[in-house]
Amino acid sequence: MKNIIRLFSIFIILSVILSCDKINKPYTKPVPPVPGNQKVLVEEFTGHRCTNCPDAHEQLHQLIETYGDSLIIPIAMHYGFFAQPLGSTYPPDYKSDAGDMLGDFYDAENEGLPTGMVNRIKKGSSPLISHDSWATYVDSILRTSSKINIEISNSFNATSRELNATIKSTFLTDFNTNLKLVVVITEDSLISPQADGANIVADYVHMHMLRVSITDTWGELIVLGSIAAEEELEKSYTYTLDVAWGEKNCMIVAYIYDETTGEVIQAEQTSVIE
Amino acid sequence: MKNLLILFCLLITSTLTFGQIEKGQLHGSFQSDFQYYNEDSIIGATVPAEQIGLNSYANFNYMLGNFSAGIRYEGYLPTLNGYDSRYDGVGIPYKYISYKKDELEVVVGSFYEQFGNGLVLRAYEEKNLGYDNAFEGVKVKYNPINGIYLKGLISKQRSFWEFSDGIIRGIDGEVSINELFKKMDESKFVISIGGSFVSKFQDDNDHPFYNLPENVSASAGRLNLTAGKINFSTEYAYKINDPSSDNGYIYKPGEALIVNTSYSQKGLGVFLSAKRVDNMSYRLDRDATLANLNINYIPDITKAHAYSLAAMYPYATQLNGEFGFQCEVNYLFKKKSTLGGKYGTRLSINFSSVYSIDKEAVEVEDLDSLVIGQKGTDGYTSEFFKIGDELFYQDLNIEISKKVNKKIKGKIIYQNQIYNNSVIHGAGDWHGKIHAHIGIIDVTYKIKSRNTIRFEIQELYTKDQYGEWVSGLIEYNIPNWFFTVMDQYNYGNSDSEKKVHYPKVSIGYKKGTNRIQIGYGKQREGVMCIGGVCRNVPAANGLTLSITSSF
Repeated sequence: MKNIIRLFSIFIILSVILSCDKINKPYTKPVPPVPGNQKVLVEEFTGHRCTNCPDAHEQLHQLIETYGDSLIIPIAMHYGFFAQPLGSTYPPDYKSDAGDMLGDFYDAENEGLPTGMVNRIKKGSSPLISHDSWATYVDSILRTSSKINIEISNSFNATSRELNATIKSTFLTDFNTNLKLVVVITEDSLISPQADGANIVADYVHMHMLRVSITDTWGELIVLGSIAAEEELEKSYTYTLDVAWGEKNCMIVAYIYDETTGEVIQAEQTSVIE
Repeated sequence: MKNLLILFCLLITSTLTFGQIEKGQLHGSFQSDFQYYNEDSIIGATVPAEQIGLNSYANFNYMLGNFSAGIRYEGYLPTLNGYDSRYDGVGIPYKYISYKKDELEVVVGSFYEQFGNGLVLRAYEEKNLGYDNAFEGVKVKYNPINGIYLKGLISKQRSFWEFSDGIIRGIDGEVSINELFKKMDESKFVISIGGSFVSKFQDDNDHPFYNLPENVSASAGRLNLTAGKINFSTEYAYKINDPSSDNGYIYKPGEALIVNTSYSQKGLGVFLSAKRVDNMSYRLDRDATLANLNINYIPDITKAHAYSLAAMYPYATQLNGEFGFQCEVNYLFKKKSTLGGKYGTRLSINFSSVYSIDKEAVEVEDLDSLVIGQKGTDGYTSEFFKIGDELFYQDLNIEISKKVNKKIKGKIIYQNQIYNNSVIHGAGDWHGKIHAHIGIIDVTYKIKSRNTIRFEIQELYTKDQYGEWVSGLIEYNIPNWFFTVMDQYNYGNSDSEKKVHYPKVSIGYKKGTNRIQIGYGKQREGVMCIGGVCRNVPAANGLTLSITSSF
């Protein structure tokens, strides 16, 4: 009996001693530079009626501020119940067919908003990650070596509103899997109401909004089976921009993902108008 | 875990083989809820690809002397509308074996546990809410001498069909003074004290921005005093720095205090309670959301309502900060008194009110200014006894219950409610406070023995959000059978297209411990918000079938 009491006492003392990490200031730490050739796609599911979504927008903004807008490739998908228009309080409909398809596929409504994906890397069985976890994934990805280089060249006819975009992919390593290319248009700086905590911000600036997928939502198959390092592929697309979209605020986003794992390997973006 | 299952089967087999030596007992229960969905454009109900939903649970517990073992099968094929679809699938997520030898009890596998009021640790399941945060590990209970009760556990935690990456460690001790000292055995003063210490471990995953604590502890102390008709209990909990999604990655320690006092005598009961909560979300994953991976539980300080319109705006504890009070008086007007009449009259008055806590800004170096809740800072300071300015919830509930004669009994309820939709609900569907008056009449008429009919009428009056609602229900009971017809009607909705009826009919059969219920009706859309995440629960229209059984 005494042995049991002793064991129990030791267990208690060890638990108390070993189980506290009191953090002293500063709580934050500087971020070491990243190599700069690997980019990362951050897709968020959001909605103007989602009171907590501005926290996720702020998180995305912090990532762009920290690592630079050339490395963080953002897409904001207004999706589901919280993106529905609501009378004069939330009039615009920012949903898109591509965003709806991806949201349904990944079951974002069930997970709850805000949520998002970082290069669609899975945590458990789903790639949906709480916005406070994005930074860890982003930092980790940005410290890896790039396996593909993507270049986007484009032209825009202001009269016909026709956009021509060529996506050149240079493979920096051998791939033995199917790869797909997705090209989408996003738009920045749309001003309309957004729920923010207990308040409505009437002139909220919505950024990185997914407008359309120029390719199929799940992309175009560009590598079937395998491709060797140093090979290059070019794909060209033409798309007429909706008149309601401000071309000066539109971006072309291209990303390549592994069809087997669903994970994004590389991403790139450029403005519709230079 | 497969080994546990094999051991469970071996236990049963060995007992069947040697059943003559010592007989074991097998108990179980079964619940299955099925729904077939129809499309309904009026309420926005859609049909999932599977067209049906099915949640099923079956518990089997086997006891042999000081040994016990059990499993629970769960099947979600797919998960019913309104439940988290991450449960989709079938399996046996809950299994345990335990034994007791003298003062020591050991449980391995899955288990639930609560320390004190649950302020620092509570694992429980509520299948009807889709909640299950079972622990998976080892639990030890030890009772060295009469009056001293010790518990210790180390475990992971259930997260749908997986387990947490993090680990929870906890110890709890309770001392019953009356049991410990023989002189106190007969005393009318009953005293017990207790304390808990819990620590969670989660890897910091080399977070690029913040120095994160990997071991976060929470501790609590409690006291329970009973002196004749008066009871006083309190518990205080403290948690060290725990930056998380819930608190916006601030490093301020968390605190919670609960005080309950009650007085009771024949015909009269008075209950008073107060609660202060400050930054007390405590999860095994700092970025977990909704109802996932909660280690602790902060009890509600508001009345839980059973009637549908009274429960339309339910309060949810605000873990990031709230200051609440509750008072309840239950009085029985005696038989043959003026107000009591022939059978007596019960009066119950409950009042609860919850406010924000005081929060003062702290200096943020990078911004060179004072800010509340900035990530990567202490967040704010708060005077412990200072109540904040914002009302979260207020509820006045007056209930009169009376048996009129041998045939008729009933209840009349008036409720006045203020519900801060922006804070509690957290969804951008309606901003501001909802002020509601609710009236309920519930009458049961006894036709003859075990043959009753019950009528229920409810009305919710408000000019806010969806406007007025009315609800009616008729329930007819005969031996083994019950029949229910009900309807909810949102007649006051300012949008004429949303002035919608939500009818439901159901028939049930019960015999012994078996119960089968078939229903058809509509369920309105809702939004569930927990912490910083909201999930829409879509409307549904369809046929339901529920079966429950136990042995």
